[in-house]
Amino acid sequence: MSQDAVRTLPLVEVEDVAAGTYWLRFALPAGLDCEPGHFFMLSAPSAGGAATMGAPFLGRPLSIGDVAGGRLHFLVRALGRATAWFRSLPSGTPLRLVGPLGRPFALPERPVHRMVAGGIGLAPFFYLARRLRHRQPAARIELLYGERTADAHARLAGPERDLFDLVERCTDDGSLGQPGTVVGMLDGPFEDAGAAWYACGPQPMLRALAARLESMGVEGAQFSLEERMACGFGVCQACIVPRRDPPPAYRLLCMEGPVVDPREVAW
Amino acid sequence: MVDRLATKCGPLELANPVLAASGTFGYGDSFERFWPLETLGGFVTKTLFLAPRDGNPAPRIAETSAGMLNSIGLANVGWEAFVREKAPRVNALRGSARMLVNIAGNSPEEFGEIAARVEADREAVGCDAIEVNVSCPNVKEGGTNIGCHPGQFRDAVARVRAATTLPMFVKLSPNVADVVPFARAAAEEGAEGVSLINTLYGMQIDTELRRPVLGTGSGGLSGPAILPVGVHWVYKVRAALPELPIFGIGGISTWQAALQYLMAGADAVQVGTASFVDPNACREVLAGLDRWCAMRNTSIGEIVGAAHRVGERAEEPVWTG
Ligand SMILES: Cc1cc2nc3c(=O)[nH]c(=O)nc-3n(C[C@H](O)[C@H](O)[C@H](O)COP(=O)(O)OP(=O)(O)OC[C@H]3O[C@@H](n4cnc5c(N)ncnc54)[C@H](O)[C@@H]3O)c2cc1C
Ligand SMILES: Cc1cc2nc3c(=O)[nH]c(=O)nc-3n(C[C@H](O)[C@H](O)[C@H](O)COP(=O)(O)O)c2cc1C
Ligand code: FES
Repeated sequence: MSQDAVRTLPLVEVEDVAAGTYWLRFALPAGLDCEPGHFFMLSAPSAGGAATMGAPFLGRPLSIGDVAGGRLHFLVRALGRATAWFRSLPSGTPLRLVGPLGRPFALPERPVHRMVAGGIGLAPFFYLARRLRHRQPAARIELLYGERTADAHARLAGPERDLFDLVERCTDDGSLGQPGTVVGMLDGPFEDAGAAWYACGPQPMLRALAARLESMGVEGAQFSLEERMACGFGVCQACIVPRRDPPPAYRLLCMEGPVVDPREVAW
Repeated sequence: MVDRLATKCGPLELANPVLAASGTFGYGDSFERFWPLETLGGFVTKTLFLAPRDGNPAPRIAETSAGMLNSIGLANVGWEAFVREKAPRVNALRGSARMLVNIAGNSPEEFGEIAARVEADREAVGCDAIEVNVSCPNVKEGGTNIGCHPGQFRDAVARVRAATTLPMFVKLSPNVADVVPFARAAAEEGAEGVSLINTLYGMQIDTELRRPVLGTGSGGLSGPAILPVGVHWVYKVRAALPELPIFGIGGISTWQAALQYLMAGADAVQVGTASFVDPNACREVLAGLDRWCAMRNTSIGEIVGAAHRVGERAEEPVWTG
C-alpha cells in the first residue's frame, strides 16, 4: 500500500434498497486495487471541524460491497450515528476513505461456492461473486440470505441478481422466503461439505453456523467478522477477537481478518 | 539559515516538534504504508511491560462527542519481543526521528525492573529516551492508579531514575486535582522532562442495554474533546516550572491545536487519537506548522511559551462558571 491508501472522494449517490439499507457509491479511483473481503474506514475529511457538523469523529469500517460500472459501492445498514449520517449526505459530499484494509477472501477452486448472509452481512458477497464468476466461469455460486423481516430484505437489481446461480431467502417471521434462519436452511439441499463456504452476519448466526459447519466436517470456511474499530490498520488494538488457541488471547481483526477461519475463533 | 522547525525537548534534539503519541503508533512500523517514519521529530512506542499483556475484553472503544473512550488495557508484546522483532526494523526506518520507549509496570518495583532491562538493551534497541507511563493500576495495592498517588508516583519515578541514565520523560495523568505537584515531583526525582496529558477517566452508558458500553465500564477519554484540558495543564506546568521541558499531548488533530500547545509552553507535541481517523494527521500538523512559521517568518524555538510573554500578567486564580 502506498500514500494512495488515504483518499478524499466525493459521494456520487445514496440509493435505498430496503428499510434502513442503502448503497453508498463513489467514483472508482484510478489504480485502486482491492479484493473481495477488503474493507475501508470511512470518515468526515476534517473530523471535528465546523464544516462537518453532525459528523462522527471516528471512521467506520465498511466492506467493499462491489466494484462495478466505474464505481466503488458499499452496502450499508443505518444502525447508529455514522451509518445514519452517511445516508443523509447529499451527492458531492467529500468523505475520507482509508484502505483497502485487512485480509481478503481467498478464492479456492471449487465446483460450488456458497455464501451465507445474515442481514447486512450480505454486503461483501456481490464483489466476491463477481470475482469468482470472472475467475471460475463454470462454478456454481449460491447465496443463502436471511433477514428478520421481509421489509429488511435488500432488493437485488437484475445485474446483481445475475451474479448468483441461486438466491434462497428466509425470514425469522416467515414473511418472505423460508421461515427461520439461514442456519436452519442448511437442513435442506445444502448439506454438502465439498462446497467453498463463506459467511458474514451477526455474531449469534456465525456462532451457530460455525458449529454446524464443523459438525458437517467442512474445511476452510471463510467468515467475515465484525468488531468495533478505531483505526483499521493495527495501531489502536480495539478490534480483538478471542482465539481458540491462546496465547495470545486475542487476534486483531483489522490485520488478521476480517476474513477468518471459524475454527480459529473462541465463539 | 536556521531551520525553522528544528527544536529541542530537554536533551533531545528534534528535527521538528511533531511526535506520535504512545498507544497510537504501534511500535513505530505501523505507518510505513502511509509515509516514511523519518518525517517525524520522533515517536513514542506503545507502553511496554516486561511480560506480554493481552489487555481487556471487548468492547474496548466508544465514540464520544469529538473524541473517544478506550479501555485497551495496555495490551503489548512485552519487552523481549519488542527488542527481538520490532526494534531492529524500526531503527532501520527511522532516520533522524527520535525513538522514545514508553514503559510501565504493575507496581513501582516493576517500573524499576523494566527500566533496568531498557538500560541493559539500550544499544540493541537504539532508543533515545524513556517515557514513563504512570497511568496504570498498582496491582499489588488494590489497583490504585500510580499516576494519581503522590507516594507511589515518586517511588516509581525514582526507581526508573536509579536504573537508567537514558533521558527520562514522565507522562502525567490529568486525573488529579492538580498536575503541577506531580510535575515538580518528577523533576525532583531527576526527570529530564514531562509529557502531558494522558487520557481522562470517562464512561458511556448504552441506554438500550442499561449498562456501560466498554467491557471494563470506564475508560480513558482522548481526542479533540480534551484539547483545552491539555493546553491548560501545559500552561500551568510551564508557569510553575519554567525550566522543565514538556511534550504537549491531548486532542491535537490540527496544526492550530499544536500551535496552542507550543504557545502554552510545550517544547514539542505528540499527536495521538487523530492518527486513527486520518493516518496523515502527524504529517499534516507538521506541514501546517511549517507553513505558519514560514508565513510569519518565525521558528518553533521563538513561539514556544509565547502565551506566557504577553506583557505582565498576574497569575489569576481559576474561575469556573
Ligand atoms: C470489517 C468490517 C466490515 C463492515 N462492513 C459493513 C458493511 O459493509 N455494511 C454495513 O452496514 N456495516 C458494516 N460493518 C459494521 C459497521 O461498521 C457498523 O455498523 C458501524 O460502525 C456502526 O456505526 P454507527 O455509528 O452507525 O453505529 P453506533 O452508533 O456506533 O452503534 C450502533 C449499533 O451498532 C453496533 N456497532 C458499532 N460498531 C460496530 C461494528 N464495528 N460492527 C458491528 N456493530 C457495531 C453498536 O454496538 C450499536 O448496537 C462492518 C464492520 C466491520 C468491522
Ligand atoms: C487507544 C489508545 C491507546 C493508548 N495507549 C497508550 C499507552 O499505551 N501508553 C500511554 O502512555 N498512553 C496511551 N494513550 C494515551 C495517548 O498517548 C495520549 O496521551 C492521549 O490519547 C491524549 O492525546 P490524544 O487526544 O491526541 O489522543 C492511548 C490513547 C488511546 C486513544
Ligand atoms: S482497528 Fe485499530 S487495531 Fe484493529
